[in-house]
Amino acid sequence: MCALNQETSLLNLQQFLLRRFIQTVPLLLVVLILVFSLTRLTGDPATLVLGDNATPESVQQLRNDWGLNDPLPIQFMHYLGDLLTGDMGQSLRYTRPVLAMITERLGASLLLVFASIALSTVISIPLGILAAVRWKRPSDTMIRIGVVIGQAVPRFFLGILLILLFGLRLGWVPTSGYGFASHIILPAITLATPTIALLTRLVRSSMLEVLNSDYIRTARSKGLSEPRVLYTHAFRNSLMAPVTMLAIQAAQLVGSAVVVEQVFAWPGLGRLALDAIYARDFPVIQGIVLVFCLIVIGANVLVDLSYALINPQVRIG
Amino acid sequence: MRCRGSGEYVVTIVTRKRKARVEQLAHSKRAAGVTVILKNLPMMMSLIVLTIILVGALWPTSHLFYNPLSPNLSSRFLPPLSTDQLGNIHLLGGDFLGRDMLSRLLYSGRYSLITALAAAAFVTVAASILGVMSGYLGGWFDAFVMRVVDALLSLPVILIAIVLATIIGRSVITLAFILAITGWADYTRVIRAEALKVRSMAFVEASQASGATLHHILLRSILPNTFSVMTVMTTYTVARFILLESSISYLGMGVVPPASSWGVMVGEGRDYIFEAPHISVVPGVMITITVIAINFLGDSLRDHWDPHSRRH
Repeated sequence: MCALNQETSLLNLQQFLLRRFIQTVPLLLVVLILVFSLTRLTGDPATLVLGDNATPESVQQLRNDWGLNDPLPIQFMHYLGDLLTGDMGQSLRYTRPVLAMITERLGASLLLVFASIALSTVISIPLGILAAVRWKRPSDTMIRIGVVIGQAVPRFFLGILLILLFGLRLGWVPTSGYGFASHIILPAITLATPTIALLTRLVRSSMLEVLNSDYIRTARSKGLSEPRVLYTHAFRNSLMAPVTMLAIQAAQLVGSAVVVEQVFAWPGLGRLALDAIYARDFPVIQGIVLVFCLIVIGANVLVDLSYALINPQVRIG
Repeated sequence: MRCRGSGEYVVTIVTRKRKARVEQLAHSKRAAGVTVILKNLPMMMSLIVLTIILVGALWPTSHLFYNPLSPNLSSRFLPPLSTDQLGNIHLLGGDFLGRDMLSRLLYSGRYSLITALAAAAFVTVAASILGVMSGYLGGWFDAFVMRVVDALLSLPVILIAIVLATIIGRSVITLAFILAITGWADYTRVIRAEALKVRSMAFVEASQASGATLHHILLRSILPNTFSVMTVMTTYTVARFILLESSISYLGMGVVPPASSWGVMVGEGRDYIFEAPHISVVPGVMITITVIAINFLGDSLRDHWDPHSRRH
């Protein structure tokens, strides 16, 4: 549509990133306010930490120390102010900085989520294309059955099945924990499977749509070879819908990582989140929700950028 | 005078005739609906499966084979299709407390299904109101609703749902409410898109021109035309909510005992996965079958309303 030279496209990129950044601020604020107020409205962390036998004086003392006696808006402003300086507060339970606890676990979670995104892309695109090309043949039917099951099986159950199969019967890969590269195989497959099913289905249907279009008929009647028709003409144009879906799935994947980490004892943010939720450790919960949202927003920006890679007609910004 | 009188007479005849025709059409439409179901194999299969599951799940507790809540030492970890020491047969075996798995499966299904259905009903109402208004009115209302939708879609739903469940409680009603407030976004977006499509159609313009009230246009012109999309979306939403509820329950944040759900059962069996895999596998398979059946129903409904999509 328009030929951008290097300079303007860089400028556009900067503008685009800036605009995305500005768009995310209200979203983050809403999330923070919601989580903050909800967690403060119920339960008293001081009583929770000190136990039922604590004297009222010591509970009061602790509430004063943690600033829990201030009005909620003031507590929130304090929290925001600290956040801007990189201070996410202290864990009520472990009396450690939340930021440190999160950064320790962040790597494992990011690894798992990005491994699953990569796995979903690498598997679903060829499968979807294969199914579309072999429309209504046995391989297409097989893939469609796989898609139906993959979309319906809950991740925690799939994880348990994989542990049963590999832990008990085959013993090829470790079924829980963290350490060697092989530890990630089962969690990543588990986390990715429903996404693979969904994306395969989308790639298949959008590929079919493209293959039935006029310009593909033109390409074929020009005498182009079938691989050339498929890979240079049809492929790129069928990727828009799946890539959009991947952006939405990123949020899903990050959320579902909580479940998968629990199943496989994967030491990521999800398990930290669960522990914090069980213990009503508010600062940790807030920190993790914030970081999860940041990951999702980051993934969304990446997806937006990849539109431009797939389709030069889409201008950034 | 006489003229006007005969005119009225003619009008009544015409209305009567038209009424009769409309009724006849409606009747044949209903008949067509039944034949559509009979002819559509996937739709019929999924309806049969879902009916069986629903009837099983709603079967009164007192009439189940065994009490789903009473532990029984002699049937602990009993594998499927075997008898305990008292000679009682347990089709799906016993769980880690010796409770009959089949009875428990049906009992838990009630909570899984009711939670998901209630949440889906709630979402259907909320999303159709918001979506129709958003699509028809446009402007700042639309912009506001769509920003909220975007925000919700970019949140890690399960995490938010678990946090909410610990805070506002874990009864069936609160869980349904939590599912609903975390899951109305994409439904609303689809209804809005439908409303946008309908808004510019001639019959809507006609009723605008004839001075219909906003209320009338929204309820009589826009809403009925989103009905086909609503049936499909509601079906998919139920499936999604069953999965989401089971995840929350698996993590131990779902309904509290004596209530149970399929997700709770899978979670209970997690510790005995190598000794007695059936405790987790049976409810897990049940969730999967139910969701497959519901998704099939959704697919066939979509194909029915939009034959264009059936091509693939």
